[in-house]
Amino acid sequence: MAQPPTKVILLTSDNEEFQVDKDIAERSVLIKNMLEDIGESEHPIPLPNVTSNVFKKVLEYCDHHRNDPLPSTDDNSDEQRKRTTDINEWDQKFIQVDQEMLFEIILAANYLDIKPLLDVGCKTVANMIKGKTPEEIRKLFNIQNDFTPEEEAQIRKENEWAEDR
Amino acid sequence: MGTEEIKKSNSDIAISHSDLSRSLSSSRKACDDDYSEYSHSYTQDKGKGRLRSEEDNVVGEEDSRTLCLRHKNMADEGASAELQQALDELPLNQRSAVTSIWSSFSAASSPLRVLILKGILQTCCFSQLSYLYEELGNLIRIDPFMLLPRELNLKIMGYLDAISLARAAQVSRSWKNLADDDLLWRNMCEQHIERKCEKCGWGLPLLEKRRKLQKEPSTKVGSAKRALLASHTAHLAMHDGTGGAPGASATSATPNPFDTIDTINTMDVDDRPVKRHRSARTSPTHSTSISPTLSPSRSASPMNTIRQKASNMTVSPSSSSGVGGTCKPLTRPWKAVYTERLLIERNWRRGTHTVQTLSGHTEGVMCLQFDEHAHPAPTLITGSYDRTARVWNLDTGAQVGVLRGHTRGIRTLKFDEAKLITGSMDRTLKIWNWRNGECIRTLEGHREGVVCLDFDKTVLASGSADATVKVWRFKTAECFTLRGHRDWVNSVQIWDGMVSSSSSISGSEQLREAQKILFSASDDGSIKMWSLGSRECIRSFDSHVGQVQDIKMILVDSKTLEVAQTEHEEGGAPKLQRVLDSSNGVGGSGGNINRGAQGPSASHNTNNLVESSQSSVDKILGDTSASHETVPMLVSGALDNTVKVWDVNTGRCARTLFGHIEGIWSIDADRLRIVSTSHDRTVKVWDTDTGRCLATLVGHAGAVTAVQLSGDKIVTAGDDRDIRIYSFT
Repeated sequence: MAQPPTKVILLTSDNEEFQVDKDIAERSVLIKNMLEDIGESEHPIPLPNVTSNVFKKVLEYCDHHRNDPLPSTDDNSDEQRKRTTDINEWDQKFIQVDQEMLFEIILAANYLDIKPLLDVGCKTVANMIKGKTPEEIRKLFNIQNDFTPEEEAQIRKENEWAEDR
Repeated sequence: MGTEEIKKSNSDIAISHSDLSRSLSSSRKACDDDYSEYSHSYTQDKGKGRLRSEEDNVVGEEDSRTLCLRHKNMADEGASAELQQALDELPLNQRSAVTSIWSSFSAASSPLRVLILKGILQTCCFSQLSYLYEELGNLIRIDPFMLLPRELNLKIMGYLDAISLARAAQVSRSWKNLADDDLLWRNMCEQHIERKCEKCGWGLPLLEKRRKLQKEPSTKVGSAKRALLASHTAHLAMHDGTGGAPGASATSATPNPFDTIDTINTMDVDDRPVKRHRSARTSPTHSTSISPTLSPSRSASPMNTIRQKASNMTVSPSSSSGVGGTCKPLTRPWKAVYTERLLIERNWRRGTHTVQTLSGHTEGVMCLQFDEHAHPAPTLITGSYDRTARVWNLDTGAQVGVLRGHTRGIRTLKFDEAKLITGSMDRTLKIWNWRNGECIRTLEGHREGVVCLDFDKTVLASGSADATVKVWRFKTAECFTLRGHRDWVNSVQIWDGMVSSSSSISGSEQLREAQKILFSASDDGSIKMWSLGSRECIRSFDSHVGQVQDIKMILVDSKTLEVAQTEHEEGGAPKLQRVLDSSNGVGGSGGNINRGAQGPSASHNTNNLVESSQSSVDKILGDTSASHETVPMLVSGALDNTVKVWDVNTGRCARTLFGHIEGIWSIDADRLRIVSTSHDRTVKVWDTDTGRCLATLVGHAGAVTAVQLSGDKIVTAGDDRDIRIYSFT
């Protein structure tokens, strides 16, 4: 009975080929739709916006979550997710990468349309920002303060309610 | 720093530092190519709609001239200068060796660079690796919002709390542009206003609307509006810029509670016809207004984005609400709406308030109601044992009129924009034009004094010392009597039986009439729930051990009652409560036993237990418990010194609030707070969700007999003849 799972071949921007179980690849709505459109094919599916090192990471996620129920598309559940920035343990470990990789994963998840991964990525960035002062945030992301002193004073005043708890 | 400046400063470096800059600039060039190629294909594939891909093409061309994200940000001349200096100090032959390594690296293609690095890493000793380790930690820091498309940036921002957003706004211009985004703050308002935010556990006052919600059959103050809120949060129309614009043509009465927020400054009441289409018209405008800002995905050159953002900033502080020049000045940013309410909320939490005292009555004041949105000015009306009702300007505190006619004390009153109805110990009810003081009609029928009343669009209910409730139909002046209480009826409230306004639109008037519910509270210690359709008592809430003086039904999040229940079961509530609950057979009607099984199914069972003659009412209640999250909750205050919170669907007492040391005369409640006034001369404010006492307000020199609560104030009246306005603005 044990039928080997169907494989699909995916080609990343740096011309690396990946042989992936179909159900794993289909965690990506983009790939799923592509497969539906072209049907069975020997040709690799090109993913021109993902590099192999990022794609490996993404596949790791998809593999771990291959049996999760597919996220529903209705807004209500979206609302539910929005309310909490909790990330489960495995995902948290998974997403412990340097900033560049984190942002690349987010971009890839967005491009490949893997909503749960996109959520994990965005939440992670949000958690990095949470509870930090503007200066700490600048430091964290290497951001230049481009306000003039007058603007800065004005903006601090606008937001001073946030400092008074 | 503008784009041009960045470019310029980069080229400055290039000119001044020969060797280093040559290699650096070529490295920049190399990474640019990667970048533009990447981003170009990215948007081509992703391309949503023609308009955008055209835009992208233009941007793509520009890309080839710009730098990769990292090198664009490396306008850090200090680092380059340092490097240059170290280079200059080397002997010439070493210098050229080093620069040649650098330049061949920067000339290499991306895969080749990786290979070179691999080789270098191989030749590194631990000390160099540890140097790399340390340095890389600092170097790989990227502003995510430069890298990601705007829709993702906003998604990330959407996970932040208000405080973090306020701080994020102070980071840089581009961050401010994102963190002040109007949609974000609208969501923040949705989460907090008139409800407890699940993230941070507190809510903000609604500050109700100046205008009447015309589609609503007005049940007792506020409940209809609250129902509205529940149903409309889902499809909030964009606030259409009526804030602070008296008489602006945009001030239409959309049945959208969040319009309220923008109209609170509007002083005029224009009863123009409801323009439901307004929201429909607004939303497309809105979406087009954001779409251009949503598009800069990876394709847009970061510099271009900066330019765009910078120009956005100078144009409008309220970012995405760019509906067009004409509307803009009328729009109040949601962030401003949020912070205004936050400040009021803080005052509530800290108990910071001002008090204004109104004097004029010559005997104890027994009842009051205010309407902050009344025309022509916010109005307060009070009734007293001095046989008069007095009309006050709530803002100025000036007495505007005195209504005389009753021959004994006025115990109860309620008014809307058209009329005032008073009930008196002289056994009559009077209907007044409160604006000119004219008494329009007198209703007789009760055999004892009238102690309480409530009305909606079609019926008036009055409770009396004769132990009956009479229900009068406005149209036909017919009246029927509800009998069952054994003593004075101290409080009545009509409820249309709906938990959301959308359902109230369906069904004929007759059907709606039949669905109506009446609550009554009595000196006999019970609270009864009547069906106005069958005119029978369908439930009794019986665990007070003293005369029940006041009740108020509000719609709350089902969680409010669930939480109360868990606490109760965990033994959080005093034992006395449990004894009372188990000893009352009728009120629990099996609910108390079943309820332990949890949730909707249990309450459904309870509903089934009720006799079949009330099937229509059961259906309403069944719907109620099934419908999303809003459930009816009843709050009562009694002379047993307690306030009780009841689950209307089951009849179960969910919580008892202890704290007053003498009997409670009146209560009011909204989703955030319960307020109670007592014979002990104090006013207590409680948290609706937890039942915790938040504040005790003192000042009255006698029993406090009447109260009304709003988003930013409490008005009380007492036996000391005074009216006190506690304002938390």
